[in-house]
Amino acid sequence: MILADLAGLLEKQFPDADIPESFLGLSMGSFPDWDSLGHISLLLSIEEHYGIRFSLEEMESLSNMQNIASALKSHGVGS
Amino acid sequence: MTELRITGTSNLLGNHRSWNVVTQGIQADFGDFADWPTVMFGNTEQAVLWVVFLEDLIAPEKAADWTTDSARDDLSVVLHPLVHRLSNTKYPTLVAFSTWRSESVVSQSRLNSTWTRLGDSFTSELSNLAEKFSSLFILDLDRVFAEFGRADCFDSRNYYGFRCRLSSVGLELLTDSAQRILSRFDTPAKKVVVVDCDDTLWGGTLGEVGVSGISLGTDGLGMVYTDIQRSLKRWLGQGVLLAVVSKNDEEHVWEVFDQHPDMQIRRDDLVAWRVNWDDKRSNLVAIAKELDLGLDSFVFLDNSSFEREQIRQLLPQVAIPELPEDVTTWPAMLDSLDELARFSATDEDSTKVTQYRQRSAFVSALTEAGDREEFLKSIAMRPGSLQLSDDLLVRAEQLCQKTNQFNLRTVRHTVPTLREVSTDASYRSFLVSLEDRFGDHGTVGLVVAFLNKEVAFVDSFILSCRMLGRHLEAWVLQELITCLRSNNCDWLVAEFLPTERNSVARSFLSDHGLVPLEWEGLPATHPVSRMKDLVSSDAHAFYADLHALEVPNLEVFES
Repeated sequence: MILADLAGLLEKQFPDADIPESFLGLSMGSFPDWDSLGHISLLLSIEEHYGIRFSLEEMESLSNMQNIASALKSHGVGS
Repeated sequence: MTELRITGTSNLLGNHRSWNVVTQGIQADFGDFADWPTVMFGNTEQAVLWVVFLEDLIAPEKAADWTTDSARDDLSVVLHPLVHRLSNTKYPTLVAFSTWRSESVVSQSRLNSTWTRLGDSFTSELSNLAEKFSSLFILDLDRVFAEFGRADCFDSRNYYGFRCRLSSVGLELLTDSAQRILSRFDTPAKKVVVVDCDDTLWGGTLGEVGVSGISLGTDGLGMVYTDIQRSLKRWLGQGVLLAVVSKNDEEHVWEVFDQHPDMQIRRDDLVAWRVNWDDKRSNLVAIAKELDLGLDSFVFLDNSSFEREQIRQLLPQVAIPELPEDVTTWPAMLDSLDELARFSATDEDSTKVTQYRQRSAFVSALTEAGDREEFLKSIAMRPGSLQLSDDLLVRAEQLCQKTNQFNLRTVRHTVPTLREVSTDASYRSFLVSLEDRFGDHGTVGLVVAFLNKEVAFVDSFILSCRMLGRHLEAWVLQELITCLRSNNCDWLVAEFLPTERNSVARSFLSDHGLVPLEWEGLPATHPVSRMKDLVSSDAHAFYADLHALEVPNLEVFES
């Protein structure tokens, strides 16, 4: 469920990119639009979608999808 | 409006989805981060949205020792680029601003709050400008935010994380209110309000309760309807036309208009009416014909959701505000109706706003706006260079890792390599700091040069994109030259390694006096050929004689 949502959010933020099936390996820079600004907007949209808030410290470590997925778990998303 | 340039004093997160409402259907461009002075001095043939947080323009600690008079002087300096633009183009400029900062109610209670006073004079300065320049539109974000709850609109984490002062909610309110203003450039205000009578102009069904039974007066529900009428009357005062469409017997309705003591709207306030038992659609169409106006000039106010829905389907051109169940909310809702609002009470046709009221030859003290260089001088830039000491290595690493735009070679140095650079005698390096009238910008640049006897090779030349458009790169180059000369260098070799993002630095070397390096034309014994192995094959390489190189644009800095 989380994964499907995340894929949707990625697609919304980066409509021009081809999001592969196994997108957990993706990280900032995986495609041109995913620069530091695009990354911030992605994180904000994830926060809004799940109604959670990352700390600044957390945000700095969330540069790839794998870390984002596990941060969501630690925020109780999906449990 | 077809082209819009958006710029801010801090990060506006241009790719945040909230901007879609503004940028859809037009050519919108965010440019570089915080490049607002460049925008103000730049293209005069596009509309501009400038988002200003006063705190970005004037450091709070500077507000503390300002008397009101000198505050005005400094405000005119930060507003200078705006005035320059306003004096040079009729294209609209929308300034969305916030002057808010957290402050103690105690200090505000006895005039101790210099910041609040500064904010007030900034706001009034903008209003003065708006009075003088018909192309200036202002949006007081603090008022917009206050309505929603200011605490939810700002986000300190976003500010410290990526220089965006607003939360997603704040961004949405900003973009939504900006769009409401911008859309009026293309869509004229509605001209006619068609209003229902029973339970809209007054409470109750006239046919059942009679003139004395309707709610209209000075207490309770009656006062609500009085205020609804007053609100409509205010719109009349601004040139809006009022018509009545009601399912009633006509003589009963006139009885109310002519005899009820609390009626605010009188019969001669109405431009047209249809009081009968026909369907409202035919009545609306008939009024439109009578007034010779298109249905897209009409606003339809009716308490019945059934009537509203029907008109919405049959006459989609008509604007139909949703009227909430709670009638006490209507007066404020009507007062703030965007559909009727125009930029000024006397504007006859607001579609012409861009060409509108071209005030000829207006020159105030402020409009003696010089050029960009003059502005740069007036902000009193004081750059400095700092040794790459241990406690600055982390900042230097950040600059290497995060700067994509003004970065000649995009070498991603890390703390360990930078530490080596700082201790290795064959390298010269320094960090760049900048202070100006807007405050202390901190460490904003890094230069690393590799020395081989009398030749130096630029390994890294990095400037934060916040600092572009200030000629700071010229100062940094001069600083490098001075440093190299004192190390007995005669020659400088530098290269531009293109990436997807650093095109802003492309012409820097050639613009600043360096010459393209063509190995074929140089004798093999020329000192610069010592750097041949360092120059990349796909780079644009340049060189210069350090004793002959004259760097332009240095006059904008304080000596």
